[in-house]
Amino acid sequence: MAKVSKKICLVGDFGVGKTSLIRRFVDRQFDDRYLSTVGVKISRKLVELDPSLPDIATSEVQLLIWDLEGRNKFKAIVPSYLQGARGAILVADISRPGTLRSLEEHLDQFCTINPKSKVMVALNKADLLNEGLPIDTSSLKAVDDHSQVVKRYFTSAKTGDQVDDLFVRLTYQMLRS
Amino acid sequence: MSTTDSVDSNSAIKRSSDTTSQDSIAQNFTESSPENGEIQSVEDGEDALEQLRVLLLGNGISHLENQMGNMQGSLNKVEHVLFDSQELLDRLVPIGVELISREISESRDEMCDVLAPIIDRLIYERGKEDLESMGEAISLALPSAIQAQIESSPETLARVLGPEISAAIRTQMDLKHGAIAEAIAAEMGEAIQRQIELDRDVMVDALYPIIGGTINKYLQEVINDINEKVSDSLSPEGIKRKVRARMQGVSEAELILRESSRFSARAAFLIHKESGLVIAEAQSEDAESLESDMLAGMLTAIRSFAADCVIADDGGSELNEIEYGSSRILLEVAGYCYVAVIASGEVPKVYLHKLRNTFGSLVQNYRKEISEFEGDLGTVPEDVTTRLSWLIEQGSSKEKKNSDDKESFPVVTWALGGIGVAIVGLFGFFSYQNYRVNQLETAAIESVAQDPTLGLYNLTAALDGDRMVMRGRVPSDNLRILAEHRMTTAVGAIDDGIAVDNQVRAVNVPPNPTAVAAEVHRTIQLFNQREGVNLDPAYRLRYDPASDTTQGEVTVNGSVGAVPVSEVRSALATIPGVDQVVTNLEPIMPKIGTRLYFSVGSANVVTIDRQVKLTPISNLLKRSPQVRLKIIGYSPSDETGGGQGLALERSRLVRQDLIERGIAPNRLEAEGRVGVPEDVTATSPDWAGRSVAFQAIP
Repeated sequence: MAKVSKKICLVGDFGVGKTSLIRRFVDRQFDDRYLSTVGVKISRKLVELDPSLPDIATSEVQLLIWDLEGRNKFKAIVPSYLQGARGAILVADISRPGTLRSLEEHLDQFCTINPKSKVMVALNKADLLNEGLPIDTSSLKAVDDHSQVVKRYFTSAKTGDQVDDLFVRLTYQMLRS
Repeated sequence: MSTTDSVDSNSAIKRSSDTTSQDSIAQNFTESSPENGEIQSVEDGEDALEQLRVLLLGNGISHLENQMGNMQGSLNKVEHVLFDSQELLDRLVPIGVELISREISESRDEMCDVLAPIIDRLIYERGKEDLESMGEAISLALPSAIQAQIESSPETLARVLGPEISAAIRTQMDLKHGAIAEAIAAEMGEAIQRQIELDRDVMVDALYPIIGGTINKYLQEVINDINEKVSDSLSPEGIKRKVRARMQGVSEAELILRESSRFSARAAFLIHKESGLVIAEAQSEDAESLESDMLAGMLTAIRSFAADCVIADDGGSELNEIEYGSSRILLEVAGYCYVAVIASGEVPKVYLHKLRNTFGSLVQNYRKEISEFEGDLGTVPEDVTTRLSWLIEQGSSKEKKNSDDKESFPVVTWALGGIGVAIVGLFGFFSYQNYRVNQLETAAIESVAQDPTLGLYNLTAALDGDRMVMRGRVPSDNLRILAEHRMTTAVGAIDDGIAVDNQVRAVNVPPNPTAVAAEVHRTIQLFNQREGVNLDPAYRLRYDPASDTTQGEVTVNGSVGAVPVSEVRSALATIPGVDQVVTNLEPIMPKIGTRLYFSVGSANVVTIDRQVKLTPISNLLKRSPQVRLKIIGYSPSDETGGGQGLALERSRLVRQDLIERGIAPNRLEAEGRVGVPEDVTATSPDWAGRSVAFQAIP
C-alpha cells in the first residue's frame, strides 16, 4: 500500500506550548525549559490506524507536523507556511487568557488559506487546572461553533494528557474529509 | 620472659666471678705471711687474741670474710659489665623496647622533644641506606598527606607542583605515547567550545592559519588540475575539449572548471508546492539516502519564507537555487509543484535544459494528479518517478559522457571527421618540420659539444625560422668566435640557408689564482732571461670597490734593463686573470765600456775602431730602441791643439757615423769635454785621455 502523508500545522501565540505538544507526541518527551522556535520546524510521525474501520483506506499515515514560530505583537505568522495543510491544531495557554482570545484570529487565518481542512483546539497546560486555576472559556464560543473545528481538548504536554488523542483524532478526521 | 632470661645470665656471671675473687684473697694471704713471721711475740699475742675472738664469736668472722670476698667478686662483675660496651648492649637490648614504649606512654611530649631534632636526619639516613623500603613505608601515608594538603592549602600545593606539571606531562608523553592525548581528548571539544564562548575572536585568529591553509590546499589542487588540463591542451583530450567548448558556446576555461568540479546529481524530488509533501522522488544509489519528507518540507518552508520575506515585491520571482559549499539544490517551479535536484559541482547548461524539459513535460502530462495530490503516493503515476530517475542518471558523471555524444552525434561526427583530415595533413607537415628542426639542432649542438675547448661550456642551439640561435656563455671572445665557426660549419653542411645567430656571451670567468700566479711567474722568467732584466713579480687578488669585483693585480719590482716597461706591462696584462699591473721598475741602462782613442789633435776615428767597436754599439742601439746614447768626446787640457772644439768634434764624428748606420739622430747626443774620463789617472798613458766614451741614457 502506498504511503500517505499529511501536513498539519500547529498555530498559536508564542509560548503556549506548540513545540512541547509536538515533542510529547513525536518523541514522548517533555522539557519545561522554554525554547523559542525560529521560523519553522518540521517533525514527522507515523500514525498507525485501526484497519477495522470501514471508512479508512490506509493502515498508517505519516504526519508532517509544521511547528510554526508563535505569533507575537511584532511578527505575524508567515501565511504561506499554512498552505497545503490538511489539518491544524490551534493551541492556547489556559493560564494566559490573551492566548485564548487570539485563537479566533488564528482560526480565521488558517481557514481562509485552507477552507477544507480540519482544526483541533488544544487548551494546553491543563495540568495547571489541578492546581485550582480558574478558566474562562466564554471567549471560545466562536471557535467552538466554527464548522472546521472538530473538537476542543484540554491538553498537557507536561503530563501527556490528551496529547495523543488530539493528534490521532485529527488524523482520522483528515482522512475522512 | 626477657626479665627471667636476664636474671639467669646475671647469676651465671656472678658464679664465674666468685672463683676469681677467692683466688685473689688467697694470694693476699700468702704475700703477707713473711711479714707476720718476723715478730714472734706479737704473733703469740695475736694468737691469744684469735683464741679470744674464736671464744667470743666462734667461726662467725671467717664466715663474714667469705661473704666479703663474695661481694668483692660481685662488684668486679658489675664493673666488667658496665665497662664492656658489647656486654652492656647485649643486656640492654631486650629491655630497650619496653623502656621506650613505657617512656612514650608516660611522657609523650618529652619523647617528642628528644626525637624531634633528629627525626629528619633519621629519615634522610635511612633513605640513603634503603630507598626502596623507605619509599614503601612512606607510600602508605602519601595519598592522604597530599589529600590533607589539598584541603588545607591548595594554593601552596599548586605553587609547588605548578612549575613541574609541564615537565611531568612531557615525561609521560615520552614514556607512554598517546596516553596524555587520550586523557585530554574527552575534554577537548568542551574546552574549545568554552573558549569560543569566552572569546570567539581569539579562537578565530588561532584557527585562521589552518583553515586558510586548508582552503589554499584545496584551491591548489583545483588549480593543479586546471593546469594539467591546460598543459594537455594539444592532446586529443584537449582538442576534444576545445571542440566541445565551441559547440556548447562556453569558454574553454569554463569547461575546464566544470571538469575540475564534476557535476553529479544526487537526488531529485517532485514536491507539492503548498504542502511540501513529496509527490515523487529518485535518489542516486551511490550516495547515502536523504530524508525526503523532511527535506521537502524544509525546502518548501524556505521557499515560502523567501517568497514572503525576501522577494515579496516582485511577484514573479522564485528561488532557483540554494548553494552550500560545492553542493547545490536546483529548484524549478511550476503551478502546483516544484522539482528540487540536489547536486554537487558546476551544473552544465545541457543538464539544466534536460531538467526543464523533463519537468515541463511532467507538469503538462500529469497536471491533474499533481494539483489534486493529497499526500497519497498511490495516486502518483509511475512515469513520474521514472522520469525523475532518468534525471539522476543523466546527472551522474558516468552516464553523462555517453548521452552527450549521443545527442550531438551527427554534428560532432562531421566536425571531428573534418578536423581529423586536417589533423592528418598537419601532422605530416609538422612531423617533417619537427624532424628537420631536430636534425639541425642536434648537429649544431654536437658541433660545439665535441670540440675539446668548447665541450665544457653549455651552449644551446635553437632553430628560429631560418636562424640557428646559439646561446650560452664562454669565458673569452675567441671561444665565442670558435663556437660560431663550428656551428656554422655543422649547420651549413645540412642546410646552407640557415644562418647562425651568435648570442653566446663572453663572460669573465674568474680564473684559478694559482694558475694565474704560475703564468705570471713564467712570463716574468722569460723577461729575466734578457740582459739587465731582473724582475720580481707578486700576484694577488684585491677587492676593487669601484667596480665591486675582485681584481687580479700583479706588482712587479726590480730592474727592467733595456726592455721597455710597456712591454712587460702588456705581456702581463694579456694573462687572463690579471686585471691590473703595477710596475715599480728602475730602468738600468746597459754599461758601454767601449772607448775610441784618437791621435793628438785629431778627431778621426780609426777604421778598425769603426768596425770593431762602433758596430756592436750600433747593434745594441738597434736591439734596444728605448736606449739613447750620450757620446762624450774628451780632449785633455794639455793636448796640443786640443780644447773644447776638438772634444766636441770627436764626439760629433762618432755620432755621425752611428747616424749613417741607421740610428735615429734624436737618440744620439754628442758632447765635448776638456779633460779626461774619470777613470783616467795621472799614471795612465797619455793617449787614454784622448778618447770618446759612451753612456746609455733612458
